[in-house]
Parts: sequence; structure tokens; C-alpha cells
Amino acid sequence: MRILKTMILYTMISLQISGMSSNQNIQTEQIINQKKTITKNAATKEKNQIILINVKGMVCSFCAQGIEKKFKSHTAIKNVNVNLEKSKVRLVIKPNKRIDDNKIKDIIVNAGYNIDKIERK
Amino acid sequence: MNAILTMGILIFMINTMHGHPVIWKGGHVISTTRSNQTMEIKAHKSITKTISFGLHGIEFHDSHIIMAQANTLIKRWNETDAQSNAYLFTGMGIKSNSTKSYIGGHVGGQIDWETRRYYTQFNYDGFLSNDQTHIIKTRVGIAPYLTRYENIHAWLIIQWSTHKRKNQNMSKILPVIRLFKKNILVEIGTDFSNQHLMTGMIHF
Repeated sequence: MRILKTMILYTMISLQISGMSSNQNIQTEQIINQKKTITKNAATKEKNQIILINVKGMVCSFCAQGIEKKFKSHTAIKNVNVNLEKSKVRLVIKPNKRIDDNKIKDIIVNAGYNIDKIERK
Repeated sequence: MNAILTMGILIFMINTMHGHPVIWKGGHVISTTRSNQTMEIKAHKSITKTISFGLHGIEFHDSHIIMAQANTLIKRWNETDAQSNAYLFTGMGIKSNSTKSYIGGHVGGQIDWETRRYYTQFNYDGFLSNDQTHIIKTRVGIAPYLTRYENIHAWLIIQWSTHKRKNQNMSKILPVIRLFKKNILVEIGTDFSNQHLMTGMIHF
């Protein structure tokens, strides 16, 4: 009887330790996953390149629609913001995509404007 | 009137034509203007940044003209805070009245200059057929407020125009409000007496 009690006690202790270990493993995995997600997000953020274009002659929002429309239809562009006050167009480029300066110039010129400067950040 | 309406419907149906003189390459414009003297519908497509082709219908009190139209941006000056343009308009088509049809043509031009705050425009349009109509228009405008690209923009404009036709010469001055947001523009003008103006324009 005493032996049986001792065995049950050992079994319970073992199960408890095992459970704790399992919980620790889950927690560890969660932390690793969180770290991975943060790292991935940071990498994605890095790859969302920003391009700022200074556009000459862009004084009217009705006429500047062509700039927004043409950039939005380009596969590399995630987002377009037109700032009339600063005469700037801000492009957010999709991760792992690229648009070269010649293409940017082509779109702006075919929309009827001239480029002052292109900055990549 | 019926012919112009039919043309307008056709333009919308075929969806390939377009009406601001010239816009971005591949862009379409459809516009309509109604005043006491005329009603116009224009639809153009800009095939390059400097040339657009389309249809142009204009109705006078006793006749109307339907034309194939070509608009050319002769020169654009893009400055840091301003833009100015010089356009040439040419058209050829049929002028009809209640009894006869004639070959009709259109020759015109526009020069404009604008900043975000100020706007000026000068237009000449000559409609040539069995008789001639000459329309001269000058505009000066000011934006009462400056706002972000995506908001509603407004212009307060004074328009002086003169119509010369069959030895009749009529001049008028109209205050006009122009509003636009994204790709839609409307204008309403009145002298609070017997003259009015309404314009609608969309581009895509």
C-alpha cells in the first residue's frame, strides 16, 4: 500500500514537472515566433522604399489626376500621395519591387509636367 | 438639339472619346457647357501629352455644328509654382439648320496661366460656315482658400465674353464659381438677371 502511494506521488510529481516543461516550451516558442514576426515586419518596412518627386507646374489638383492615376496603375507602386503645397509626389514602393528614374520621368512628362528632383529614401 | 443629345449619348456609349483641350497621354475628357447663347458637348482622347482628338458639338439658337476636333498643346511652361499653356483648336464637320446643311469648321485658341491662387484664361473660337460666329472669352479667377489635393477646390471667376454673329454683337460679364474634386468639375455662373452658364466636366 505504501509502495502504491509512493508510486502515485512520483507519477503526479512527474506529470507536474512535465506539464511545466511543456508550458515553458510553448512560451519559448511564442517568444521566438514574436521575435520572428518583428524581424519580418522590420524587413518589410525596410523594403517599402519611399520616393519623393519634386514636380514643376503641378498647381491644379484636377489636372494632376493623371499623375496619381498613372502611378497607381504601375505594378511596383503601393501608394501615391500628391502634395500640391510642396509640389511633391510621394511614392511608396512595394517590397522587392522597383521603378527606375526613367520610368518616373516618363510618367510625369506624359502627364504634362516636368521633374525638378527625385529622392529615394 | 436632338442631334447633339444623340451625339452625347453615343459618346458615352462608345466610351472612347473625350474635352479639356489636352490632358495626360491616354486620358479622356467629356464636358458640356450650357449658356444663353450656346450649348456644347465635347469628348476627346489625348493620344499624346500634346494632341487630343474627339468630337465637338455646339448648338446655337438656329443651327448646330457637329465636328471632328483636334486640339494641340502648342507650348506648356511648367514653373515651380505656376503653369501656363497655349492651345490651338481645329475642327471640321457639318453645320445644319432647319432647312439646309453646310460644311462647317472651327478654329480657336487658348492661352492660360495659373498658380494655386490665381488663374487667367483667354479664348478665341471661330465657327466658320455659310455664316460666321466668333466668340472671345477672358477669365480671371482667384482661389478663396487653398486646400489639400484630395479635397474640394474652389475658384471664384469673373468671365467676360463677346459673341459676334450675323452683325450681332453681344457682350456679357458673368461671375462664375468653379468647384472640383478628384476628376469631376462643375461651374455655375449667373449675372442674377437673364444670363447664366453651367459647365460639367469629367476626365478619366
